[in-house]
Amino acid sequence: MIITRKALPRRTFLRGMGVAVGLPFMEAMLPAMPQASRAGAKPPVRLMFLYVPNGIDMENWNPSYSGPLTELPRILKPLEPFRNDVLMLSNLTHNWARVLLDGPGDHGRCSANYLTGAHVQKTDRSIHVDGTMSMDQLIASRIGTETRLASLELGMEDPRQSGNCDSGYSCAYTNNLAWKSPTQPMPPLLDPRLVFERLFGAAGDLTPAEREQQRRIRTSILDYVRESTNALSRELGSTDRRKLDEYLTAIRSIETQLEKAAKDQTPVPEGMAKPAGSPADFSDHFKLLTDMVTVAFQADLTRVATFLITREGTSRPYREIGISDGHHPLTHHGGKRDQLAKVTQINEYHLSNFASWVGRLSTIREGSGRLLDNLMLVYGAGLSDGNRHLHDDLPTVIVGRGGGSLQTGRRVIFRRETPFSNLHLSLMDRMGVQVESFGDSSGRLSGLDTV
Amino acid sequence: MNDEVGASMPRAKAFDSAANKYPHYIGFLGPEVPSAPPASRSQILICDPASGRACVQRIVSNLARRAWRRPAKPGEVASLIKLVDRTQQEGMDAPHGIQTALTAILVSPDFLFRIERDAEPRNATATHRISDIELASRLSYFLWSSMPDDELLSLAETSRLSNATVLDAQITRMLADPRASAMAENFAGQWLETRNLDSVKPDPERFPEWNTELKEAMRTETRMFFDSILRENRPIAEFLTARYTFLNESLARFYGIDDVKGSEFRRVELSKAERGGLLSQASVLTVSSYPTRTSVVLRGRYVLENILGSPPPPPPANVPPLDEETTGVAQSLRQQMEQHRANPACAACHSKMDPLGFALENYDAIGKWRTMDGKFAIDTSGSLPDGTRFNGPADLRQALATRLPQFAEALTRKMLVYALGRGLESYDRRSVNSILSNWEKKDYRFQALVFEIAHSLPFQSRRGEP
Repeated sequence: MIITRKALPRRTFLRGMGVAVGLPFMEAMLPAMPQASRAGAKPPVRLMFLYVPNGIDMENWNPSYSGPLTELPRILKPLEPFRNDVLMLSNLTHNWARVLLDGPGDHGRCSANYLTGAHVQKTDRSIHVDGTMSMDQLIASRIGTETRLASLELGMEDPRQSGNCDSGYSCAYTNNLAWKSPTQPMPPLLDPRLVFERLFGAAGDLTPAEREQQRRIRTSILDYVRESTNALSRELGSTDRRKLDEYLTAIRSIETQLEKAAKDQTPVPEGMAKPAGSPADFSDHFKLLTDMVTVAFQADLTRVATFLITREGTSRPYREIGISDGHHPLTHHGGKRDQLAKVTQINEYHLSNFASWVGRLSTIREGSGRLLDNLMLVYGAGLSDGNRHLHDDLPTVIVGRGGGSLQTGRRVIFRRETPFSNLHLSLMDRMGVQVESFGDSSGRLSGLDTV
Repeated sequence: MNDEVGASMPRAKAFDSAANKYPHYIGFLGPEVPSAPPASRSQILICDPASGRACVQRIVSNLARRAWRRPAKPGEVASLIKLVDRTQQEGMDAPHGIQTALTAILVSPDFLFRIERDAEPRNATATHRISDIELASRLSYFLWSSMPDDELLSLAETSRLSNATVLDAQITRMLADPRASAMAENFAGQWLETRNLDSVKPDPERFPEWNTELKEAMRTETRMFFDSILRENRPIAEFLTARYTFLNESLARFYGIDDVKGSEFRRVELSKAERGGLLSQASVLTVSSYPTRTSVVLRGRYVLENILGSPPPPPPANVPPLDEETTGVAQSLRQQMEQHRANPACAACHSKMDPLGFALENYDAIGKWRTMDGKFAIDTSGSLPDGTRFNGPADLRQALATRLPQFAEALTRKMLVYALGRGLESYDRRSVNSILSNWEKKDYRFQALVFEIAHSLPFQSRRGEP
């Protein structure tokens, strides 16, 4: 049969071909989405970090004032329509990302240190971030059992690099934000289709009975694997044993997922098609991934996410906005205006993509308010000035009101050298995870909830 | 249809029907139901699993042996058969039962990890020889990037593989096998960094010739060049100085070589001095450049790291940035670099890197020959750290060829890391030296390195870890 000019329902087409462009799917099916908040219950607070690499052109980031946000500087301009939902934080520092006694490698350090607040061991072999785990994973380990997925890790650049990516720091440091243990990063998912499958299962097309049967068989496979792994572990040396432990941990989390999936039958939202793959265009890719997060937050499939938009040291050009030079070489502009102008444009472009997601989020209702009221989207970078590799005054904005726990619409300037880890403590509090200290924290940030 | 035409074309032209082509319509045929089950199915179901226990046992042990690269123990087979039973209790048929067992085999750590066992896993001082089975896997992952085949595994199961004569015969056989092209794909792809061809993204405005076809041609040239030196067991000096390479028409035209016709790659003798050896290959020159321009620093580092094995230390913190952007506009690159090197903090390393990079300045950021950079004539003169002077790529080739032992050591270290799957430590020094002294006696012929590594102490032994 030759199909000519015959309209096909899009879903059939995508399913049949297994290829084609990933199309954004959101607007039409929003009303049918299951809601995180059951009637009367207070909706949960959700946290997400969005990370951009190679610093920011700070001259066009910081406003000249503190207090209520009025006109926003050039890079932040796209957020202006939503400025009442923006909390801008200044003067937060990640001291462990600095040279200290470790020499060059600021890019490698600052991304691994961003969510861990810890010292990053300089090595390209046996990676190790001191401390216990990144703050998102700490949150996931405490409250992750309440949702189908404990956490969600996203990115837009292929993490499959090995070896040394920055002056002796392993590529693992720049390819990951989330760390489940000092030695185990959580690689980001790039492909919107895989994110979809992680959220809704690969077997979306099966009947409930078939799915249940498949679940039982999988459980017995996992039992078998766990037993044989345990037996093997006793015969191995320490590094190998650690690897196997990580493997066992992964198996356990799959088991937990399977159990949760058996109880929680959140269906694939009506009208939502499985994306076919990763679009090449930055904006399309960004939109698909963030739309997936919208769904995950709305349906309460997870409460904590990290998004490594691109990685530290990336030389990605931005042809989408007419920039052919690599991002990282551009940031070492040596003060040249034309080169810096391109950095500013890239920063703006990232922000405008983020802001259009915020725009889409801002119309979504939740309970008696808006979804945005219950979110904390932390957008920022692990370097301020990328040219000089500065680790103080890290550019940071939070969008969303954290369930009413954030007084937004203003800029707060902290004392110089306030640890970024203090923000982690304060955010964890809002996620219902209370710890004494985290990384190099010296206390909690005051004044986030009151003027 | 070349779907990169749009991407590599000035935006204004992309939808100009005279300059670009786009489809009127696309039709699809099918789906067609295959008439016979795929061949892989009959390789798995070597007998009819519905015929009874004996067959299920045969299938499962056969699959586990292949996947785990070792014979499966009776207890392991029994556990897998339980999974077959479990599936059939769900009302599914025997092939589905095999499917469950196969899934378990493939998610088992025995498949996912290459497991080597120690008699004393926690004792770091008891060095011991690996078993023949383990040697078979080390060898096949080294040379084929894949699991041992039946011949190799059978020799290992009968403990004959560690016999030096048998081992040599196997290496000879494996190097002649098509699967040995994995060395060019994986080892050369990492050593020569040609894997990065997919991520370099040269600027289409500045380099309109760059497209997927050219990129793949560049990759193919270097892969075939490496593969021929390996399979024909040529002396490794040819990596640096060969007067031949592998080209098809489009790459030959890019190199300014006329008489190569058609899309097939073939060996081409090089008559002009412009090309010869790895460092004149467009793949290498492209991965050591920025998207918009060449960098003498990146190319210098490339030669030091991959050819001479003496990588420069990373730049110290807070160095004043190198002003390479105005190159060809206000100042020549050389004038700028020389200013940069006037700073003693930078000079120590840049005096080693930059001259090597300058010698390659005749090639632009995608490896095309040039004599001008912007409005400045290219000056390719320079010297090695020991004072050997050279002018241009042909001279650099000769200068590097006089450093053959240093190149041999660099290559040995890279290949040993690849073969062992771990970084080298100070205690490996003696093994490296002994490989090098044996290899030198064999005129640094390439295959001899493979044999030396396969027989070396680190390749054939291991120890526990506290």
